[in-house]
Amino acid sequence: MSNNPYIPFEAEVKKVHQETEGARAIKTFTMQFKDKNVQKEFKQQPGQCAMIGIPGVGESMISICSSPTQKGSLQFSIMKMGKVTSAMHELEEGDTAMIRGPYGKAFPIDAWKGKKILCIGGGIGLAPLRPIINYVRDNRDDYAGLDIIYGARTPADLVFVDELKELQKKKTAKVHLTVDVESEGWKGNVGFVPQYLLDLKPAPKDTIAITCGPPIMIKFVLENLVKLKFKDDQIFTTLENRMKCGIGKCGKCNVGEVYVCKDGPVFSCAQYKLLLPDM
Amino acid sequence: MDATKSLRAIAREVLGREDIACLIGYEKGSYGFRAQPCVLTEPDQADRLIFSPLCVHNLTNYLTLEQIGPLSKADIGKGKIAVVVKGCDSRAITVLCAENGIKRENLYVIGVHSPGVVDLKKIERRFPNAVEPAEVSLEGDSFTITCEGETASVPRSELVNAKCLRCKNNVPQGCDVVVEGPEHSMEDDFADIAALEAKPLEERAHMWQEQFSSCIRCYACRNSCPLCYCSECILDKLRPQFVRRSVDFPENLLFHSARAFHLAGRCIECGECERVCPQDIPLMVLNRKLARDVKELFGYEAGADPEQKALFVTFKPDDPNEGIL
Amino acid sequence: METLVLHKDKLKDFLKALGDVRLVAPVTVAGKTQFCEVADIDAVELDLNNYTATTKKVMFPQTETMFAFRSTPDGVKVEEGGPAPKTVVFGIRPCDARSFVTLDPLFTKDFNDPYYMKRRAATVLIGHACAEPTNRCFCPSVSGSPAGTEGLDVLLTDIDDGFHVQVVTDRGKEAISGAKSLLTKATEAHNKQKQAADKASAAKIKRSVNLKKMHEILPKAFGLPEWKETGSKCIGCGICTYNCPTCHCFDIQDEGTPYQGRRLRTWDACMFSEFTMHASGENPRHDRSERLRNRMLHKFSYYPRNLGFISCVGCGRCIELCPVNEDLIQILNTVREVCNE
Repeated sequence: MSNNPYIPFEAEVKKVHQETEGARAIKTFTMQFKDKNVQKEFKQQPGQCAMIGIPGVGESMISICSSPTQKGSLQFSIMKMGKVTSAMHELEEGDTAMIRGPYGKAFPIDAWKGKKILCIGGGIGLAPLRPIINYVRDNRDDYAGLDIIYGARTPADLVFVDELKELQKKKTAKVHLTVDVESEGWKGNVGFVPQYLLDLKPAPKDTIAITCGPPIMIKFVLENLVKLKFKDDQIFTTLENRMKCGIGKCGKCNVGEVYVCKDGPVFSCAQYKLLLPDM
Repeated sequence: MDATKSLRAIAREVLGREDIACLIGYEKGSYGFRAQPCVLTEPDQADRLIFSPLCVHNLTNYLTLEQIGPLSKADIGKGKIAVVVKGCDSRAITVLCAENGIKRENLYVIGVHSPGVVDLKKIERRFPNAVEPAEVSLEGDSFTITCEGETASVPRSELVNAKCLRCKNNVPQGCDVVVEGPEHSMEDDFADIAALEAKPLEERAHMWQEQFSSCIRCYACRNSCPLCYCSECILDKLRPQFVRRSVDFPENLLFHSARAFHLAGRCIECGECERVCPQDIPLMVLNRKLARDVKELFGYEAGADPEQKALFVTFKPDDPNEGIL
Repeated sequence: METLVLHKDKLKDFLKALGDVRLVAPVTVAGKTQFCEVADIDAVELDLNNYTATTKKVMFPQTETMFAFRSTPDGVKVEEGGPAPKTVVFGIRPCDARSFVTLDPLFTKDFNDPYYMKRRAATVLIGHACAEPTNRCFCPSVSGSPAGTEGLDVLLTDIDDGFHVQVVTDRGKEAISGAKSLLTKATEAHNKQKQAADKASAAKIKRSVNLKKMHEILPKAFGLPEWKETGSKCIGCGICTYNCPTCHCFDIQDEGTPYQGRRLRTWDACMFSEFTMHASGENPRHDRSERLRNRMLHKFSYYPRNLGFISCVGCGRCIELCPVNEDLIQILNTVREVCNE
């Protein structure tokens, strides 16, 4: 193919896993490029996204929720929301979609070696954090610790539950789950993620905190991390915006002078604070 | 200038009232023959208002655009919006109230008897490159124009907007307060429409093909129309999609025909769509053709009667058609 | 730079002598000037200097197929279009030619946009100096000029004896090589006429805006209430954006079915209400005044800081065509005044 960054490549759906049900259901798709070379060369880093879509319907920028340590395929967790994501939800194993990427700035995961990794997620916001979790899991000796604080509205809204249980069981990570409201059968913590973070009081020493979730959750989590004495360069987040080209040309995703597709989606707290209140 | 003085006095009083949230009027433009809409909130801003033949805009458009000055949709009930209207503009309020698009009790309508407004393109051609804001007044049959230090007198018919030459009624309807002036009203014989209809089909088809091929789908016509206020325009929607986003003759033709039909029996012929079009497409021809047909078929004229009901959404037991489904 | 003279009555021959290229020039269609592909050289409008017709569509068409796709037994086949045809644009104003110089870094930074770049590489720009700037023009405020050569391959200026021809680039020289016999060397007198013409044009420009340090002032002015006041009258249409030669936002849409169709891009405007609307219904810029503010900051602060050019060439189309007199000169002057800079 030519040097055309807009040309997508065909990928097959290897597996579809229903994470949550309902009007805004979430499904995790495991995709494999039909062309083995394309798959080999894709080499995404944790935090990056890709444009995935169906010809005739359109494309959506979705974060790649699998770690580069998982070779031979890519995973996307997609919530059914609009035109493209609804069409994606109709896909079954053996169907194909078109993908181009990887795009965006990744988490500086290599620079974090030796540190404790604290992932704080809400709802589907755990999906962009999952590549970090799985990368650390697969390179566990390189990191001093892995803590996950994760919550959703109800237990049915939690994603990757089995994987998180596995991490807890194998003592690879300490997993702290919470839900917003009292729910039948739930014996775990009840409370919003930002408050649960304060309750757990993680120590900031040699720790990197990464958070992703609804904008309001990110706001309060950042405030609380500061209360817990985390410094700006210890905190990272990943943002979202409506995107079309994915490569910083169509002008849609800007927050002030940065393009979320190209200068993000990963931002350190220091960078986040400099952003104009344009969101 | 009298109208300006009276308007400022009214505005000063209105803006001081507790129950008024803002006032939408006209003020001096940034150059030449431009006036601009303004949204005022304090009595001491009243002296910014003007009223002259340069006040071409239909300010009632702002009543249905999302966000009006300090008011968001949520705030609309919390205070009235005062709006300055000419005769033609006020008909939009009549139609909007008839179809429950806005509530009359949320408005404070300030009417002005306008002697006519200019055709901006004509006056800018006649007095090109004016940078200093110009002064224009209209008395009787002539405009007095002061531009770049020189004053000239020009017959009304040469620079007045085409719509003013067939003005149905320059007395605004349903006002809370009026700035009086000379009154006039005329019959519209739709002669321009008949003349176009007399042309052969091929000629008309070619004309519209050229016109709609030059449309750039900027949506200025739709956004400047007070009667176009769907929160999600059907001609723009993606789910489901009726009009493609690609800009070409077939899609543009669909956009304009559909919009004209959506306005049939509702368009009050303020002419804003045609005025704002950057490609000079004669959009009013479509609307006037349908207005004439509505008059002939249903004996109905949008905005003519403050008590009228909306045409196509009113059911009568003696409706000549067999069924509505 | 080589300077030549072309007699006015030889202009049509000059255009014919450009050879077998696609000629785009001002023509009158449906009663208005548009930049179109010219089939008949006699239709070219030579006297219209101050068209408001857009020229950016030459490199960046309003609707453009990115690729076609179709389902085959071997999977989805993606078919790209062919190369851009060799094109000569004639009669473009210096401000519009500069707009491409401004757009180039956007379409090449980090990723190469093949659609824009292939047209850019295949197009020669022969400009016509602006003899009659109007009351909307302010190109000197953005370092432009009615007789500027930046971005042009050849520039024609009206002088007494015809056209003064400046051959600005090698590409321009090659493009007009077929018309060599129609051109004579410019004399000292001709060059003096050209200088006088340039001076006369520049003197006609009356409006200006002070842009010194504006890229720093604007972010500081982000929270000012003046944005709400001026933005309230904006009606949220796309006139300013679509007619602006340096605006570049676009939308990508698919047409057809998953079995056969095309992916296209079309102009989009940040002034439209659903420009930044998320599928969830959340809209970071749901206010018209927020969108107006974003457009001003993008053009006069973000773009210069990111790509090195003010995203404006001073053509004034936005000022002339705006239905409600949103005037960036007035807006930016107000910002500077309120910020006491």
